[in-house]
Amino acid sequence: MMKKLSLLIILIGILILGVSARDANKFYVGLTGGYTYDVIRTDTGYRTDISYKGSHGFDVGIPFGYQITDYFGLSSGITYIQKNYRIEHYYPSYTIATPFEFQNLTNHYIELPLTLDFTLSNDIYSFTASAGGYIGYWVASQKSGASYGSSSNWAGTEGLINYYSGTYKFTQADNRFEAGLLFRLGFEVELNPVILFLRGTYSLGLTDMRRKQAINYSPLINDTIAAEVGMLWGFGEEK
Amino acid sequence: MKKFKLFLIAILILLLASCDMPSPKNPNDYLNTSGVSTWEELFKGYWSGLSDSYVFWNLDDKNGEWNDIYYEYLPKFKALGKINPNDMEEGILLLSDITKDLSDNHYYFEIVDSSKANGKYIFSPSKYKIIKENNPNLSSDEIIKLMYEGGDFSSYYPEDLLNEKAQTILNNTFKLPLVVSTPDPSNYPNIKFIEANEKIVNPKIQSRIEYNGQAVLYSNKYPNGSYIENNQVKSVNSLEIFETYFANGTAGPYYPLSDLNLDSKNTDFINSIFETWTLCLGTSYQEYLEAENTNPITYKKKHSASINLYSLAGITKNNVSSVNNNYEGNTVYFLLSGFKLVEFISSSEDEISLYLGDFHDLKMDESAKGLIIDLRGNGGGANIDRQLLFGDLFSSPFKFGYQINKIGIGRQEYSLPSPVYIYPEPSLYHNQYSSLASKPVAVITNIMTVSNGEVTTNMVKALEKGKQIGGKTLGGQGTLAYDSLVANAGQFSVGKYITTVYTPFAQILDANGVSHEGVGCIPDIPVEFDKAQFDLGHDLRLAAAFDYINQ
Repeated sequence: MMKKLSLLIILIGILILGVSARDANKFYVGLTGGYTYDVIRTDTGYRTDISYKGSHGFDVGIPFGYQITDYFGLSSGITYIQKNYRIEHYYPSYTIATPFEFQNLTNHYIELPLTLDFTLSNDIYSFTASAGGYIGYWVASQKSGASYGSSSNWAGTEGLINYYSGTYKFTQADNRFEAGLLFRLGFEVELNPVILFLRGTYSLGLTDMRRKQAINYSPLINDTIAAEVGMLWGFGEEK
Repeated sequence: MKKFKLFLIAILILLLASCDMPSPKNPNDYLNTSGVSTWEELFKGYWSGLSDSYVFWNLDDKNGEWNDIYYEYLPKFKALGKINPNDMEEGILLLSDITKDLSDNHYYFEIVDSSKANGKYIFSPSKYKIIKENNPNLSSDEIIKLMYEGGDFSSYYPEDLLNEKAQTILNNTFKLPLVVSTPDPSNYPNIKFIEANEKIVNPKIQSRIEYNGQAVLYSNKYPNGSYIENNQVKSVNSLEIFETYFANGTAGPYYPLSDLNLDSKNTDFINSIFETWTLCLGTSYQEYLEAENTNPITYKKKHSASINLYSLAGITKNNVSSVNNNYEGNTVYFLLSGFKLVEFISSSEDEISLYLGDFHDLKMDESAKGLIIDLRGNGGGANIDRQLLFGDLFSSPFKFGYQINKIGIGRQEYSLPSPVYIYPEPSLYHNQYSSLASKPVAVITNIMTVSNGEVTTNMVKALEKGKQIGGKTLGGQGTLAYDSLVANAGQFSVGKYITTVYTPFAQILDANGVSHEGVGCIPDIPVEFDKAQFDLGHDLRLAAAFDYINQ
């Protein structure tokens, strides 16, 4: 709720800023990269011994856009983005060397965002608010973790916990297509011929990571926050 | 600008709107706690419990089959209405139908049924699959109905399932009278004869048992048995002297071979085959009071014992093949009915330690040219037994398979396969390691080799010169824990009706990462079971194992 309120305040702030605009009828293309933090939106219900925790990653991308009017433009691009998270299973009465099982997932996505941008700027600085959506494809996944073993030595010093690490092989149970809504705030500095920018992005997932499993069940959905830096080059008609 | 403001307002509404997600329910919470539950509720609880706690969905739900089951069967269960424990047949047949094709061959569910003698019915897919494989003319519905009606299934089972196990191998192949035709009770006044199929446990052995969980040893190293003096095991010179020690409580843990002289059988044959051998029997013991006289009434204390663990370890004589060409010389042979040694350690630690020591000495014989592990009829048991028995074969951890656990709440959220090892046991075996793992090793199996029996089969097959001989195993290789919340998968119940759903918490794969769940391990050297030959003592599968060692 607090998160939503903060976003609301920021949006209202933009509404009352001074008015100016980017150059209309201009194409932009650039490079971007940054930090990502993914959280899993799900409900574990009666399984209070299981938790899904957010984790860190990064993204890199090639953004491009077109400024339609002085204030509005369209942006897209192609982005490699990591949406990483961690699963923990903790059962307190199971007293062994490590009280819980865990799995770290490194998930690699290729995304195509599409947003409608509203930009307010003077000749040097700009603020941009964007809203839209994205589609993505879950390209690959690595997992590493620890789980309860079944073949220990007599002293109980080995084999109580099994460790693993490697590339995950997708199955029909995985939904590799992803889509969602995207909200972005950015700050730009124009240093002719490039524009440097800093932006924050919130991706609200709409698709379940699983297929054909959710009867009487809760989907598993990625929500991702990204903080990125980048630069853009403009092409085309000047004002 | 106006349009942009409307755009922002629309986004704000979307953000402030809450997203409701269905919350997974405990399977028991699908049932009506205040009144009578319905079959629909029970089905939903059972289906959801399996969805959460079954660990083989990568085998059984590759294309959403479990969801299809839900949609297909929900209306059928709904039509059954309320649950009546006196009329469970129709619902149980439906539950059996949706369960019968699950790969997990440990799996069973237990459900209340007042029409059954013990008030419950148990359905297991493995039993269904065995009957189906051996009776292809029967339809699935016919088999499920047959299983529900109960009775004698021996005509539906393969012959090795019923007839080939450690006890019959010892009786027939090695001609040891462990189970005998009912002898004259007057010769055994302290034994309560518990008859089953006109055969009883050798009463001479029963006479040696004095407490529950006692393990007894017989060995040609101690033909007249042994006694304990100053915590040391000493050989006894004669049977008469042994009985003196037995009377004053210092006899054992080795008992005289004359106990194995009964019913026209004795130890002559086994002595002709093995240079050294030890037989370990784990027993259970029960006391009775039997009325002796009526006026006045007096009672006599009697007891009976049954054998719950059979194990034999021996090394063949160098020249045995000249005496019996079914055997090869200098081969270590080990037979085990179940991985239960650790169960007997608390009550018979000395006996089990001595037996493990005897087996270790055989494995350390450098002249041994191979090892045969006979796991026919071995129903599995404790994984730690494998460490006790084979931890002296490997001086470094030996990977023999992989394990897949459930992680997370999704039906197919699994770990990656993690390696499973057998570890060296330097403290148990004083840093002594056998070279047998680098020599030919044969494991003999049949359809009732299951669970830890199959995991140990995987261990042998992972060896460079390891082979599986005999019949295919059952295909129940998952590893078990007692509670699905502790292990994140496995056993659960559904209210007061389905009292147990018994299923593993993790999959076990072989050393190549292949699952044999529901299928079984296929022998490298298949040998058909011939009951007629087996009953005569011609053990074709054992002969094939010796043949392999000799090659």
